[in-house]
Amino acid sequence: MQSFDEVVAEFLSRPKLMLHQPKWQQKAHPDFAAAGAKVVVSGSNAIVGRLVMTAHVLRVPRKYGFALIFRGKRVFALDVNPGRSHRNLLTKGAVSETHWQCWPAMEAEADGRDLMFAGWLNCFLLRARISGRFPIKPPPHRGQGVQLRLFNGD
Amino acid sequence: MAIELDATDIEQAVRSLVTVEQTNFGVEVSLPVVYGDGEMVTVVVERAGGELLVHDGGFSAMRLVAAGVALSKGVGARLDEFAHRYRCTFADGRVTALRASDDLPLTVCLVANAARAVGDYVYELRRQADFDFRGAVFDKLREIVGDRIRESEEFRGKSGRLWRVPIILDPARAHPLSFVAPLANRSGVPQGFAMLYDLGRAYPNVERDVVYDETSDLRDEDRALLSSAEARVFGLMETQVRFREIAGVA
Repeated sequence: MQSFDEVVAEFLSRPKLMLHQPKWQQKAHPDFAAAGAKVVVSGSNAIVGRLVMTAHVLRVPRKYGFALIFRGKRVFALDVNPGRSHRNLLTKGAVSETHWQCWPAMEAEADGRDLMFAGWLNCFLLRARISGRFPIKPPPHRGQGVQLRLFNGD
Repeated sequence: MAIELDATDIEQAVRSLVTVEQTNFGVEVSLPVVYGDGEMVTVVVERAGGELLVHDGGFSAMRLVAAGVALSKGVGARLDEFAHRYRCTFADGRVTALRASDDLPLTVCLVANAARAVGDYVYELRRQADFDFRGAVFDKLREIVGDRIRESEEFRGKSGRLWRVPIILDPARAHPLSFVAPLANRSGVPQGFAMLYDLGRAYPNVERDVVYDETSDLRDEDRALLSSAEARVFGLMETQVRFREIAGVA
């Protein structure tokens, strides 16, 4: 029997198909928007995962999260402008900028590029081996309004 | 060589974990409070209507959603319980201090701990995994038997207890052909066994099938126990072959 790590490695290595269009929602959490879609391994509909995207709607620089969930575990992720430090527990050291994480270690691997949402999305889909024919809109953002409120001297 | 224990050095090292940054969002304070994966907790202090407001900016809820947690009303209520342990609330995806002005440094620490407690909900994802696995089994079954699958039907067992169970109907769609129990992990074994045993005594002519997750913690003893309820027990990978046989699909 395959170990869970082996099953995850197989899931990550195989091409995957997005089954529907992710739509941004923020009803239950006004600070950020989230969108998701089911993904299946091409040729094996029983191996199912989920693409989850998150985007803070107020913070500048814009904070995004892309993650691939498999059997309830976050197995591949990209945090763009996380706004906080990530301490690598195994390899030591801290990463404060945009970073990737991959199962099983999930240690942060820094990425110094400065891209727009669409650029990061494409990078993530490419590395996660996810394809789909659905256009994905950029997330909502209203950071300027908050900036005015914070600095108008109230 | 023994490492010197110097209180001043340790204090400085821990203090160095605290960073403060002014952003468009307010003053963001990163504290020596860490989520289980090594990510530092950040708290936001902002002025709103003449009062100080201390909250987590929705960062911990964002982490949860990014880990696959659906922020339902029930989950929100649970997270609010966690937050209240640290004199905070969890509402609209945000951890906020109940009162900030009394003692700001302490409030910042309380919010950081409440945010970490909320973030820790990610370790309670078992129910979500159950849901995902159930979905995978149904997708597979639907492929094989089409509209002969029913995801949740009520049947009364020999004991009188009412069970909600997925079934495969016979080709005429008149009677159940098989009770199906998807099993994502070991925690479902006692309930699965009870259901199959009880239904088996009430409906001896209906087959009983258990589909388990090969990657889960199920043991040989668990499979043997489930088989003793006269159920066929097989892994998700075998579903295609097994259900084609059961449903009589070529």
